[in-house]
Amino acid sequence: MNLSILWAKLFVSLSLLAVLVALSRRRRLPGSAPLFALFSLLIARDVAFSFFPHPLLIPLSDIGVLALVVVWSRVATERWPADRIYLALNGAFLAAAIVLVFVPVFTLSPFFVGLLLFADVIYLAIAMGLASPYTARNVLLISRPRFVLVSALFVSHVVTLLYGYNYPWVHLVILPPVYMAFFSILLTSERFAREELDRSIQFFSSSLDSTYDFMENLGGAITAKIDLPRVMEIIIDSAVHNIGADSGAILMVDEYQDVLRVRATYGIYPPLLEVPDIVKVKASSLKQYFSDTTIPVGVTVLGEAVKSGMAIMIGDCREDTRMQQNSKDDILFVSSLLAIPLVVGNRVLGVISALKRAANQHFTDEDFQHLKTFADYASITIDNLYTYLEVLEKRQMEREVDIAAQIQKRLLPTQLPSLLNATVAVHSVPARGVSGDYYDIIPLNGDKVALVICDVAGKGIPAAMVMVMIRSIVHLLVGPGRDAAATLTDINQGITGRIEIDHFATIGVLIYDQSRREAQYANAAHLPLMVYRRRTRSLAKLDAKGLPIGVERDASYEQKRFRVEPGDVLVLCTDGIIEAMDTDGKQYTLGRLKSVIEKGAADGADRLVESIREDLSRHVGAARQHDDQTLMLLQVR
Amino acid sequence: MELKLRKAGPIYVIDVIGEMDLYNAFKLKDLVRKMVDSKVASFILNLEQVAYMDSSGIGALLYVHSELKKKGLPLRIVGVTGSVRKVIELTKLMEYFPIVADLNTALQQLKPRV
Repeated sequence: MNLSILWAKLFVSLSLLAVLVALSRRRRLPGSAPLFALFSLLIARDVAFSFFPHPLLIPLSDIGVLALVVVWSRVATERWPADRIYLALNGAFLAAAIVLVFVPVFTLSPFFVGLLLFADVIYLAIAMGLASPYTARNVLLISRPRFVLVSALFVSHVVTLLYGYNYPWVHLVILPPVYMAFFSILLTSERFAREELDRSIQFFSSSLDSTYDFMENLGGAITAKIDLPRVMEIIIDSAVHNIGADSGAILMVDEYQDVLRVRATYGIYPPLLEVPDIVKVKASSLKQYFSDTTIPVGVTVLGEAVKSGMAIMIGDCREDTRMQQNSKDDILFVSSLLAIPLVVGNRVLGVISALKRAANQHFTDEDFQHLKTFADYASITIDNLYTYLEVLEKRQMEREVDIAAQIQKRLLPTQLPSLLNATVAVHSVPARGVSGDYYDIIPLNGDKVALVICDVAGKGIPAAMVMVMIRSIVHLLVGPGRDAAATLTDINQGITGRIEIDHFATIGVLIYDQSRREAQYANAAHLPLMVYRRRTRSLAKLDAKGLPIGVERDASYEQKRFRVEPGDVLVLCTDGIIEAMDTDGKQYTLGRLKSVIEKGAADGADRLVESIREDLSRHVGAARQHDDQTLMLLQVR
Repeated sequence: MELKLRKAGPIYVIDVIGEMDLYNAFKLKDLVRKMVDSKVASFILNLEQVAYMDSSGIGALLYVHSELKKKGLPLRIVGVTGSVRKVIELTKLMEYFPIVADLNTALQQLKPRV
């Protein structure tokens, strides 16, 4: 054996060892382990060759070297099945060759091993050549060094096939470039691994940032004025940025129906259903179309997520039958989808979904986890807002009712007029905060007096305004020339159409002519008038037909006209009296009122009202008053 | 109050459940407004499960009735019994509202003629 070969080998081995020691002091990164093994193998065999220069040592160890290259490249390309066959065949060959070295049944020629290695190099060249963005996780790792590596391997194996390993120049000139090529891929691989680590550190810190941003924005939107659509927008914007999606949407379950309605979108979120061709022309019309359609619960992936309450991830939409509609190469194309139900307790409020739309861009499990965490936070936020808004609405309504009560209090007469041959007495207690009753006693020219009792439906400012209108019209209209029915007809015509129909009013109008001892009564669906006759000592209801005020413009009102005698009592009241409840929820009833009036009518109007008041409070006891109580009576003297 | 929607062909049945009072009668108005906007053409209001109704409830019924009448859309009201019936009777609106005996009659009346 030529001595200079040994020197050459020793020199190369020592430099390799130096490199390896230098590299191994750095932190080991995943993916480069096979390359370290490869270098160790090279050093070991070169040292071994220096002492036992067996002609098969280098070719056989090259089988191992190439196998390690294949294992390394597998980390990047995932061509496992073909590689497995490669490794199995080579392993079998290597085992057989080693057996032959010790049990020389026949002599294995280095040339033959060289041929196999040549085939291996060709396999490696093809495999690495096939690496593309579609098959490789990190294609640059393969594509950058593959030309140099494959050429170096090719040249060295052709040369050694022709000349063998017995010349020093083979060891000094032909083999080192291969080593250098291995060394360069080790460096590249290290660099890539480091970059990936940096990227993932950056990803986590940026997702942490965007979560903080999200909370901050959300805080802003909530404190200023609760704007639910804006909150939803902030949520979807943050979610999309958080996981690096292209577009996203929030859909909420409808309050009344089992359908999903789009509440916020980011970017273009194509519908997951069949879409008319006309809509596909413009991105803006597609967006509009999606926002306008409702999705029944259970339909499409979004409906499925809501129905099942389970998060769904579709890595590659082309491989999922549920996404057929969006796998064609058009504006509807979706590459990857996440759909996470928004759940609070066991209620599903809606679904948040994000898409990747560029071909071959797929969500990772990490993105899926991120969005799930995000959806948890978003659901609680949305649910709290819903509850808060509800409370706010109720509070607002109560405040309005209080203001309205103030307005109404001023509308009521402050003192009762004294009449020639009749006495008027009133009992009126508004329920706290809630007031719908209005009564009035208006002396008319001559000897007439008008008694008006009114109950406006609904409460709050609108109801109070209706009451103001009715009061103004009543004061304007009632006069000696107009009878009770005509008054109601005119009030109705003046008001219908000018007020919201749900603030309709019921009104009873009683006009009493003192000189003729005659009364007229017309009624717009209020409680009937009660007439107590002194002669029979009994109370009877007297009603007149008519619709409530504000319902039909052309409504007509019946009028009852009747004579009265001294001692008779005419009673108008609201249902707050008759329906006044005791602690058990039992109502006061008309019968009980009747008996009190029949018993006390002889005591005079003021005493009678007093006994009604006493009897009422005896009945109600400690129960809370639910409705206004108004009772107005006129006794003929 | 809770509102539930059911569908029988082109006819929508709104089941009103619970109390129809000052604090929630507007929900019914909102719902009907939305349904009219989304081109629903036939309505049945089922009040069978209404536990309590005050004048605001009547107001909501009046609103729904007049709104649909303006648009020329048919409405039937069913399940008018007990306290609900009493309240409507008190306000003398029994004849004014398109009240029918039961859901089947209402569906029969609103069924599109072929």
